[in-house]
Amino acid sequence: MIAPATEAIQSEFEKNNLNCITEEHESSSLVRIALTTKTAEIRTVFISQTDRDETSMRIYNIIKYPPEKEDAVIDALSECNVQYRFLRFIADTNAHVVNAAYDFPLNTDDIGEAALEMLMRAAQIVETCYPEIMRRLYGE
Amino acid sequence: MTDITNEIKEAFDRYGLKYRVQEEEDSIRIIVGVRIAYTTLNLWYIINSGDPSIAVRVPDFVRFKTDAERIKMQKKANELHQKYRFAKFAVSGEDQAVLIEYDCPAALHEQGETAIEMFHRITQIAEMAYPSFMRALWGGEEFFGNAVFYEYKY
Repeated sequence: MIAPATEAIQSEFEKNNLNCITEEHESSSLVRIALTTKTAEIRTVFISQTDRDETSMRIYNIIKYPPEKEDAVIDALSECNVQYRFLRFIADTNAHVVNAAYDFPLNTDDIGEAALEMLMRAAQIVETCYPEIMRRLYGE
Repeated sequence: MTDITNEIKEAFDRYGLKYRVQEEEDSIRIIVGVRIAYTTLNLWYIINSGDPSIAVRVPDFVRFKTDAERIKMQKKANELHQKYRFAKFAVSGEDQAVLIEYDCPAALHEQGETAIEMFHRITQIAEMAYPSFMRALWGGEEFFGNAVFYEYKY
């Protein structure tokens, strides 16, 4: 079943000429959208639960890093988390990739508008942080 | 700025939350003090002039001193980011403290109800996260002074 939030987000994105695809799963549905910025390609997923009014935004695999660089990555991500609002950067210590996350408040009536706002914010933040994280990983 | 502030204040009054308001030139801060297991928190709801998004902050959630402690806090924050949604644990070397942060989207009409929701979420997460940070600071010790950290089952 497609959650109402997924439909609202898809509608808002299409209204703004953003191509996206939706997927239906057992207890959730999602909107996938990819944006290309100057520095990074951002693959974003908006996951909505069908049994409750909850939506989350996740950006997966922003950067893949070697395990021995994990401490440097966590340090760099920590600085990004302090410097920028909204998004939290997370080093997935099992898969050795950098992800980003944001969770929308419950019962967000205007979820389509909010999703578009967060997509734009996230794109800007990732675009800025990506080169910084890479510099810390691999030097100048 | 005033509309959002009033909405939040009305919601807090409806739920019986005690708060105080600090007004600066370009922002308003609504502060709620709360006691959780092991510590007390101040939740700040910051509304900046010209910015309809509300910033929720818990300053000085955990304080640390040395660079080695900062690194421990960063690793713990990263671990907890994989466990808890909503809250961001920002480890500030400059302030020598871990802050909890959440930012509400600007495109949000139910500001008052969202403020209440974040109050519940942040305090619950803080209560669960605090012992983890303390254990990380104290090298895995189960004891902190005379306090014993129990595992909470939710």
